[in-house]
Amino acid sequence: MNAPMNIVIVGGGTSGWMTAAALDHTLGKHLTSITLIESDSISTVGVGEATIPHLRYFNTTLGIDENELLRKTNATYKLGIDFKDWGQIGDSYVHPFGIFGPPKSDPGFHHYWLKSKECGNQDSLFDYSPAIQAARMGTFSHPSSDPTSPLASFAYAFHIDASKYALLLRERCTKNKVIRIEGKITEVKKNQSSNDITSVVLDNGKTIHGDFFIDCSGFRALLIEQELKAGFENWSHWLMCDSAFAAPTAPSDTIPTITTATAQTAGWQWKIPLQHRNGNGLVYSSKHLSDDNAEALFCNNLEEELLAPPKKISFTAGRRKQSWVNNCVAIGLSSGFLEPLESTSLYLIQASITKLIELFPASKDFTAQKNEFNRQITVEYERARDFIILHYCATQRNDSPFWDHCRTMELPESLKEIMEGFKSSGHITRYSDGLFLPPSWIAVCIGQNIIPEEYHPAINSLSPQTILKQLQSYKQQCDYAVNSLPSHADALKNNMSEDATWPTANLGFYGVFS
Amino acid sequence: MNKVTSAFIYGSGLSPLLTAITLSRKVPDLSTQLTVCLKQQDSANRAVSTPNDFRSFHNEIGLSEKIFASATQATPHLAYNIQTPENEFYFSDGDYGFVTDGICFHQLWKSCSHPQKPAMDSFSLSAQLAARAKFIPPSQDKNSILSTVRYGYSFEESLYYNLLIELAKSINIKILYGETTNIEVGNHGISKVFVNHIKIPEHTLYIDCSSERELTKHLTPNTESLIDSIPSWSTTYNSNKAVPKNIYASSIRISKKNKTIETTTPLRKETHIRSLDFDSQHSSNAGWSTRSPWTKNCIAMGGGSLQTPSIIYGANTLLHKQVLHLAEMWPASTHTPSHMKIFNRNSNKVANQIIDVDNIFIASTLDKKELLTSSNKSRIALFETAGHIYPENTPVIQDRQWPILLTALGYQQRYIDASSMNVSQEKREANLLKMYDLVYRVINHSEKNAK
Repeated sequence: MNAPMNIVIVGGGTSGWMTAAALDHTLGKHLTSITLIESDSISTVGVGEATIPHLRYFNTTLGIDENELLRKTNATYKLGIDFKDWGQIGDSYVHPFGIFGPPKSDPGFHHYWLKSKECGNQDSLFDYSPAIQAARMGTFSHPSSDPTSPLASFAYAFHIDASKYALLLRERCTKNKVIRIEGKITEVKKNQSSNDITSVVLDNGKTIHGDFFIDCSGFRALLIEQELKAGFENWSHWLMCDSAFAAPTAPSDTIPTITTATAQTAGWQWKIPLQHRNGNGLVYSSKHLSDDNAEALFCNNLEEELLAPPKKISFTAGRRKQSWVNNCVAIGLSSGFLEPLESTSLYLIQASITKLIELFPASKDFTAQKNEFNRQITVEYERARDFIILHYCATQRNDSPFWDHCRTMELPESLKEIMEGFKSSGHITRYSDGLFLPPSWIAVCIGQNIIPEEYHPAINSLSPQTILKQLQSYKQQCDYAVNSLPSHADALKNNMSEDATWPTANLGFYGVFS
Repeated sequence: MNKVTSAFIYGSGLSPLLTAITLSRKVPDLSTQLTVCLKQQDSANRAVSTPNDFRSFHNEIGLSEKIFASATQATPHLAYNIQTPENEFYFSDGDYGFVTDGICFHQLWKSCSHPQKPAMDSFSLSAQLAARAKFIPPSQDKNSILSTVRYGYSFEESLYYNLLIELAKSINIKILYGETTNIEVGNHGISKVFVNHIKIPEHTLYIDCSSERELTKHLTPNTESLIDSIPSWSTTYNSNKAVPKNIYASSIRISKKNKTIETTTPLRKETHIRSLDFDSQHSSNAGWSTRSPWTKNCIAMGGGSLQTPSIIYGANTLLHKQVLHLAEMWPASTHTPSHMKIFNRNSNKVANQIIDVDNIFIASTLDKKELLTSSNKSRIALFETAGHIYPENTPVIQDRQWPILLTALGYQQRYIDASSMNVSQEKREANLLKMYDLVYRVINHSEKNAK
């Protein structure tokens, strides 16, 4: 085989169309063909309604105007996630897309905050985040380009209708090189000696040949597992939730800029505000809660009118042992799934696409690229996994067997290390490969009552009173800045108008895209 | 658990002083409880050339360039002139070209097949200034080609040592002179240290910068021998008292025939030459690395945790990274296993990269691909297949520099990555020409000004 030039994507949905759009944009002129096979009769899971700021980079690269995205996907702005009842029942904190305190607060703003408590500071760390303050006030604007403004210290993402997002991408890329073929795959043909996939046969008898196949078939993992036996690493002993009920409800009167994640007795419930509806779901452990009881709990918790019957989804947390096998790469749910908490699904799709494009075979020998892709994807999944587990294990809840298990379970060594380091001295080592920067770890740890035993001695020379004064001054600046912003509703209205200019917002903020 | 309140830092040369000064600057609460014990009263009279990172380190510890340059008579160091039997190449920390249409420079360069295509180092302003014995300080304006210039320094170690002594004294760091004569170990690690037969007061943390691992060896007797990746070598030093022709570039000359690597460091009025001989008949030093530099209450730093030939990067690079990391995560107590694990893992990552750079030079010199470390083998395979470089955490050598170094050492990228092919050949060639033009406009301008 020569360098792959004919690409076949098996499966549409968000991952299929994101992959098709990205390949079309970055490799379309080089490749001979990009074919996407999907069937309207197979419903998609539609993951990823809540996104994280990284998706903006993906969209920008593809030239997708953010205002067009708002219009076409009924999107709303997102500044973070509101976690309720996770540490203890009654607790609430927001994991913001941004830092706490002013930038460059060496050795970390949370150390100053810890010390200020010595002289009676009653404010929570979360009072020093402009993103959280804006979310509480229901205001929004794009981050400031003035680095001295508190409004420069946050990023934003979107809540989107994932099926509409897939449609937007489909419309764009089918105008170019991507050819969409309707059909269900009935057979996969392989080269007997190399075990490479050579073609797929559809239910209408048509055979689609390709040099390189991308498996976006979702949980079925049609190519990567059913044909190529990549193997699955099961993480359900750490991530117990294996089921979900999801349903839309009528839109709220006021649309918030945060996703809500409320812990329940055997899982948690989400609420994602879109312009035209809310997305809702209850994620739970079927070992600890029956399906009937889960559905009843889910419906009972809904705050708005139900627009469609709840849909049941089953899954196992884990990842494919190898996401690239022979001439096939799995992207999306076929590659792995953690769970919806922290909105990592679209990010992991995006990361896989980016890495695939970077390492796309330029010759027939691509063993080195394959090994490197698998290495990097493993790191991505493990980093995201640890961060999600943190939410479950950093709890003091003892009101159910589910939380008893989470509180006492044996943790991955990599997570244990981070938590011990933070508990003893408030230190989080920044890593450059993989998702979630120190401010995210700090938010969840402190939000769920893991308070460092000591602050960094580098601030010993400052008195708690001096620090408190500085903190109060910063908080005032934040309040002033946030109060001056338009409401979320006004920001949406203004930015959705046809003549609104698309801001070239600061994509590189606090290193998330570096 | 013992709260960390004081540190005893032991070793010779620059490392203990740099460690103490950094900790004092970064963890100010400790400044009065730091004790440095130096084995010797002075430092070797050797010249070194440092990469750009050296300046960043000084910036971190608040040592101004002006003070440093005037006290050590340092000169800017722009590039290493790597000389192999087949090739000559200027390898610098400065940028080589830039990313256009999403295409990395080395991919762009590779994809252009024009018969008169200039060599890769023609696209780096730092490299070209170095080749012409010129220096232009970098611009802060990110849109200017001058912002791509990066430099370190060439200087004499003994002058730097004197400066550090003065600096340490000025911030009340206690300095002792002497050698350890006895070390006692308890459950928590080092319990007693005798210097010149006198017991020194107990400290909560011990930092060992001595190349003989005089403190650490009592806790971790074993180090990892690097014999498989860094064969033993002998070192000889010479100096030439003539004023060097080019003070902005040092050189690394590889002799496959003699199995030697000769590094030449120009100072203002003389040139220092270090010759590394890898011929087993003459070799005397063996490389090693401590895989658990932090054990109990003792941390091996710099030369105390790594001994390699240090062709570009060495124990000082490791020390810079280690001490900044230690200051950032300064432990509340001496018993913090998570801190130890994180510190040791990150130290090992840095050490491995230093070893990798040495290893790739040595494997080229000895013409032995089987000598390559497994990480270098994967790196080279990925580079040769399509010019990719796998990203590093806490890099010693930046990801963007690996393709340049591999090219300098004669490794050939066989294929261009697929996304580069998405841009037409004409556009790629035009972009490459534009980069070349930018570099040479600056060079021509500076030459006109010089006249």
